[in-house]
Amino acid sequence: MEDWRRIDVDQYDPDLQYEPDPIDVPAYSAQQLDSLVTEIRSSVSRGDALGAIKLCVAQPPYGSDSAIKTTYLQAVLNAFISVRQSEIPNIVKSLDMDETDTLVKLLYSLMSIKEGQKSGGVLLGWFDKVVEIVGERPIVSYVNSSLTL
Amino acid sequence: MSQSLKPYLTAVRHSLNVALCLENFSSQIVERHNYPEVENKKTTEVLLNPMMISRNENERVLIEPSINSVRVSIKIKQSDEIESILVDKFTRFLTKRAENFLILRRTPIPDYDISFLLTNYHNEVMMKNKLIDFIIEFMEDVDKEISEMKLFLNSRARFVAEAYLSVFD
Amino acid sequence: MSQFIELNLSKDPIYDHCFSQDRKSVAITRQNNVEIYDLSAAGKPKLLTVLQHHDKTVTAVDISKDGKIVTCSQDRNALVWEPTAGGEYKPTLVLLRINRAATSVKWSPCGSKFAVGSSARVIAVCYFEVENDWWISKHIKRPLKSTVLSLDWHENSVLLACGSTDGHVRVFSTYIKGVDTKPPATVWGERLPFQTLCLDYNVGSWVHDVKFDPSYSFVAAVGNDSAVYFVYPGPGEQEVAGVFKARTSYLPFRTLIFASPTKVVAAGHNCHPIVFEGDSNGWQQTYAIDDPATKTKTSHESQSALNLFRQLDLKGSSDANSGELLTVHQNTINVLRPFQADSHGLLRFSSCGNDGKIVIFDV
Repeated sequence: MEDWRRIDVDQYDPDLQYEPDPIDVPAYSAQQLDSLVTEIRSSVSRGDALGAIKLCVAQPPYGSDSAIKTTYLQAVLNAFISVRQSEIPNIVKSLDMDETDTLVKLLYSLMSIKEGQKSGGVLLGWFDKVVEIVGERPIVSYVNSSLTL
Repeated sequence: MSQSLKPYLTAVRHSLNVALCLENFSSQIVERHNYPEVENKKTTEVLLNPMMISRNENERVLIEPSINSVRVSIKIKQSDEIESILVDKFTRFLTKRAENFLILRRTPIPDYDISFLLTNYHNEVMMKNKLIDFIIEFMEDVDKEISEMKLFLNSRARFVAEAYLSVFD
Repeated sequence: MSQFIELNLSKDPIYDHCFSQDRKSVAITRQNNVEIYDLSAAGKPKLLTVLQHHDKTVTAVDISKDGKIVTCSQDRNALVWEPTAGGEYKPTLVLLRINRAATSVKWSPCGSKFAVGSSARVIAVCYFEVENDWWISKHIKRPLKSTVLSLDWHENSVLLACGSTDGHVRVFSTYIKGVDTKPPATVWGERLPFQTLCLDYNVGSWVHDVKFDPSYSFVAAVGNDSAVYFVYPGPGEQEVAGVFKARTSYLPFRTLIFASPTKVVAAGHNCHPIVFEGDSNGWQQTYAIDDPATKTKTSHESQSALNLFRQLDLKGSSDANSGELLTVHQNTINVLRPFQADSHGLLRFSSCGNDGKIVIFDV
């Protein structure tokens, strides 16, 4: 106990603790993830861009550990990159509200990891189109969301 | 103006527009205090998810929103050593004058070159769109400024070298 | 479509405002004080009096039906101001017993109680104790986990709705023996001892405002996720029968009021009010009041095509003079209050904002 003057006493006060409500977070095992990643990859190679993006935004592994999240984000990133710039507006238009919200969430998550930053231009292109088509609602929903990658 | 700058700035603009929805909120932890929650981070329920917008590996913006304050941190492009020195000098020049700058933070947060702290007071006395314009303008001017300084420095160095070496001519 | 009256009252943000019963004067918060303006004379609003006693920002003000004003502030206190014969007000300190800022205050419809929400994760329900001649309070603590941002009373002056930063909408009973008469059974429950939780619903983001509908059979709330929630209670204890979430693409709302049982007006960071309509089968956004999309800028002549493209290129925005907003309010709207109503519902409502304006809109 050398630096007892610097102890943050507030953290031991039970009255000051805030525990968020428990929520159901979807989690994947390594196997489930593998099959999902393969599915996304095969959609991409088939040229089914919309299908690939729909798979990406369907149910991200919010509750899994960081290794699984990274693998997942990598697969999502590949899907994003594979889509031609001119196809983006049509894809965004055929997604529903929840799907666009998740799409923007994935974009923010991707931009905060090294791999995604390397292709920042592509991600920003997506972002630009989403905001142009659906407005700022997905951003509001992202900052308030308790499920993050 | 390069092609990729526009989507970058658009993304920052929209993210800031959402982040700058602030209200007067006094501390839950300290009596009779009212401080930016994003700096203290002890009241977790009033913090929102941070937004990271990256143009590439060495150019990005981190926006950390909370109920009564937003912290905006900018990593300015530094492609070589000269640029890092210039960025360092430039941001030092600004942060030393942070008092007259209202929204500038005296020290940037780790990994970033310059940070702004916007609170609900700024949002109340200044127009929100002007605040956003200011940050966007700053982001694009700083790039220009640095590359101009680099050019100037190079030509000056060339001139000095010429003058110095002319002795041995 | 709609008309409005605009009052420029302050250079500081107005966090809350309240009109007197006769609508001739208005009380607004201004930093550490509350100012009362007379609006009955034509022309400029006349400053009647300033209520000075708080030493931190005043966060809310409310006027009871018999003219008593209650104010609360970040200095942890609430004051009841009783009008005296000379047109002045006499303050009485309320024994709130809270150790953090007070955030919101509302008189009960009967006028004998009021509730104060606070950052101390407590709602203080205050009533007048005749023997000691002072206002005392009882606390509602559980299960509040964070700052209480908003309060609203049921017409029976017993049930109280609250919204807080932990994302919950709750309805409590504030039945105090000796002050209240036993309320008849409602959809919210029958036996209602103090602090009974009648409804608890997690919205998932900070609840900025909550209101009972005019028939007091359900509540509406605005979350920080730009949505308006309509929560219907079920027959069981704390049961939620149905929830409707009206999502919008606007910035988050700060406040809402019911115009009629089927119509809600919400406003906030978008600086203009939005109207929602619906019933127990669903709710949706129908139109906007003071909509900037229907207005055009006046200074179009000075704008060249070159300028437009330069703006687009430089700032990623085609908005040429992004100075003034096209809406009446130039900054966030903090509170909406009903202003004038007839038997069919609300005719006009008032709003106050961070720009120091009070605006009265037609619904």
